Amino acid sequence: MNAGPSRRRRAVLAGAAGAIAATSGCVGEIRNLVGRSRTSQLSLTIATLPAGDDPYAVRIANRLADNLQAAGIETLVDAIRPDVLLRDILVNHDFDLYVARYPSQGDPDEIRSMLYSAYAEEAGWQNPFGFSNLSFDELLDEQRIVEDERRIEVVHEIQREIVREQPFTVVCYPDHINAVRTDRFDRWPRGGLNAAVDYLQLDRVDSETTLQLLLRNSRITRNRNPIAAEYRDQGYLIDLLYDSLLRFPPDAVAPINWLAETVSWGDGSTLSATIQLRETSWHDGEPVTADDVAFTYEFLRDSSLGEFDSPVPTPWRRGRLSLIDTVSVLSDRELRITFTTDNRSVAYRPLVVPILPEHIWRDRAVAADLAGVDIVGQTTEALITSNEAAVGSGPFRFVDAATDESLSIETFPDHFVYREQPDDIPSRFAGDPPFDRIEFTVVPSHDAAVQVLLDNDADSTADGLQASVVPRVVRANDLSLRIRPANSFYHIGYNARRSPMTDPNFRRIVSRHIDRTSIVSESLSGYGSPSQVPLTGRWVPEDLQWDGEASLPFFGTDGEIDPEQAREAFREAGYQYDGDTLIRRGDS
Amino acid sequence: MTLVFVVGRLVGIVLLLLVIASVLLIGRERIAETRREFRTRFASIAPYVGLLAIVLVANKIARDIGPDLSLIIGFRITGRLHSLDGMLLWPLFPDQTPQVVVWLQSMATPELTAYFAFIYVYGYVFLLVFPLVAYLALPQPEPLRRTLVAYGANYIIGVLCYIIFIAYGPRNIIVDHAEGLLYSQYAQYQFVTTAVNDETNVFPSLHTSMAVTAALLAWTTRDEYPLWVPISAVLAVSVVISTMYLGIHWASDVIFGIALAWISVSIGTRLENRPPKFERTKRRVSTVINSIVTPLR
Repeated sequence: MNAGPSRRRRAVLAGAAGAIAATSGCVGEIRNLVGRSRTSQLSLTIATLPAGDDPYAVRIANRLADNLQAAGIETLVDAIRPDVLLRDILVNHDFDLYVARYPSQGDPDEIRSMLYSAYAEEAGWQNPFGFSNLSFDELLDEQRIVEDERRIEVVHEIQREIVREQPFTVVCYPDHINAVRTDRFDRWPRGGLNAAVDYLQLDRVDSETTLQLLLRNSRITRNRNPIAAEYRDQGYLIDLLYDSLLRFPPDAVAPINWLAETVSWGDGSTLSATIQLRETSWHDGEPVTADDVAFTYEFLRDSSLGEFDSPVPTPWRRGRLSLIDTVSVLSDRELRITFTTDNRSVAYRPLVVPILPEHIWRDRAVAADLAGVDIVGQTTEALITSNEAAVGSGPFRFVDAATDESLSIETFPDHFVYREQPDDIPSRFAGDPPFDRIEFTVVPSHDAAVQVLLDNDADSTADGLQASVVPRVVRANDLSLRIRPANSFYHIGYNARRSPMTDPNFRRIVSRHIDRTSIVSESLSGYGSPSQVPLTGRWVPEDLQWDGEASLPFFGTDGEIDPEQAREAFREAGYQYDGDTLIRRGDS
Repeated sequence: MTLVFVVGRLVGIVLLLLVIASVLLIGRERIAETRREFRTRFASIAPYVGLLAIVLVANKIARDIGPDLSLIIGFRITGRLHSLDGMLLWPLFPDQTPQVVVWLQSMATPELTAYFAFIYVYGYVFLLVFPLVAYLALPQPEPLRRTLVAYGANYIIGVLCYIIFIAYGPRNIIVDHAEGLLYSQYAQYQFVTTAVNDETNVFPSLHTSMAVTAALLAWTTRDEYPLWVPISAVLAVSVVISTMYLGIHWASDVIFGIALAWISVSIGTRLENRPPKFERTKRRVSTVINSIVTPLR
């Protein structure tokens, strides 16, 4: 993608052509020749995370790069720190391909956020691919307004379209793996700690009142902004500090009331809900009011609060917010929300976003500047603040943190969940807290994490372990292994703003350069499941369930690519080869 | 906890090695003489020690802000290093050229891993510290001055490169083929290395450049310490191989590390008789640091 050499070559050619032209006279023909750009090998960069930050992504990226290389495309893998990668992909849209994990919660409406055309210009986890397709948009809109039964059909249709168009390529679902010590705390959930409510169900075994946890991903020690897209993807840790109206515990079938004491769904022509808030306060002592909730929804929709010409929506959970039509405050602790959908099993989605204190965030609705100069535009203070002393209303409050080293939080004793039997909250979460402090310590690797657990200096990890340490955990008598399937999936993202990723045929052929079965068995040591579609369970149509081979099958067998098959497919799709290298004209 | 324990053991083992080497290589006579002349000797190298101290403080600051600064202005070269690494062994294996690190690790045995891990952590520190002791025990000040300047030059150039180039080592990239052997087998050491270094500080390899520097300096003092020449050479070669064997550095990092060592030793030799103009350097360094740090605060 470099203009230099080809320009220079063109200049030389032009000089030579001039000389020849002077002697031969057929200027027109020569002009036609040198006026054309030279062809050069197609070169792509796959952005991903280094193994220290994500053990699997770089493995998948390497395999893809090797196989594309075999097919004649020059491919580089560029690994970079998570916040930088996410900024490149989500904010600057500066990438060719990337391999990363999508922070899915398993709801089909997420696909709408990922692919909805109107989101392509925005920054955040909404359509980072720049994909646009009108028939997709119709289906994506339809799935959120129809009844449950029809919704399944529409989602199946969407899944088939995703496999056909490959706006992104799903690779696999990795398992959550964790190791826990049970000598100080027990009742650890399946798969270890994976949600804020998991912390509340732990039980104390002896007199220890501090829970010691390890972190590999240190982003929470740098930034505690609930809406910063670069910092919030896998993590649930921010939900320890911030509450939402409802919460959706990992194994539950329906959300439970949380900050909302009661939710009464209305009967009118459009779906509405009247919500009664619990009596509780922010960590700085101010009461949580209906105004805070109304402010949050307005703010997330436009973090400039009308200051800018066009709204600056939250880069995180954008799609959910669009399900809310209006919010009206009825009293101090009561509000009424109307929705843009009539389906209650979709309408809960905006109610699980973190509620922010108005008295702190209102001042952040201003343009972000560097020493008084607005250098980037369309960015508010709210999106870039690192919100270090996070003030939420969650069951835990921030104590202190050292960047890339540690984070301490303590139980917030005024929180309603610690009261005697709060209404509508399952008893396993309610009542006296099992500990009064949590210390998170950043460790340099998962191997180091296991070492610290073995040394009895911690109780578990807060963000899981990679498959390669499982044998060590299994051998250790003091540690017990927790595994569960995850909702988040690895995928290859294509920047559909750049040629040749604009071409669905190109993306389809690229997707055939990965062997999902061998990726899971080798790169994930078997701790995961291959998949060609996002979402799991009933949302996947029969014909797309994983049966060992993708609908767009791998070019080769057992992870070994057959380059001839790959090149043949590219040729059939109209791509040109010079010997074994795929060439394109121009500077692309 | 782990960190304190690992550092304690590191200090203990290196001290033990230093004592043994001092007795064997320096000899009692020189040690006794050094004790008598300690003040005058120290005075003759004082400006150089001051210089090294400034370099180390500047280095500490640069390493704290370095990774963030680097992400703003640096070049990402991991992919280039990776592909270059796949071509270096072409003369040996023209048909299917392996990555240097993968090739080295294909010969791995538990004993070799233990040896290289020991060298990477303990052998390296010993290799750097022993010349300071040995050269202080010499009557002439030049070798010690040379060493201090060469070490300082390594750090300054190395840290500048770390800011300009952002790269991850093989253990972070080609994980399916090359293991971060040190950290998977001896995870405890990682607490030390992450405390002193960022994982994007890969190009060039400071382990290589410092170790080779020590070995090159040993050659310049071959008349005084003939035995130290082969010992430091073996140690330096082992450190160089260990950085790749353990999956921490690419071969390109090592090649540039060797070049950096050669440059640093030349700078050291050039400055050994002319103490650098202290005041000006100090002023310059503080202006540079201020101009970097102030806007970031």
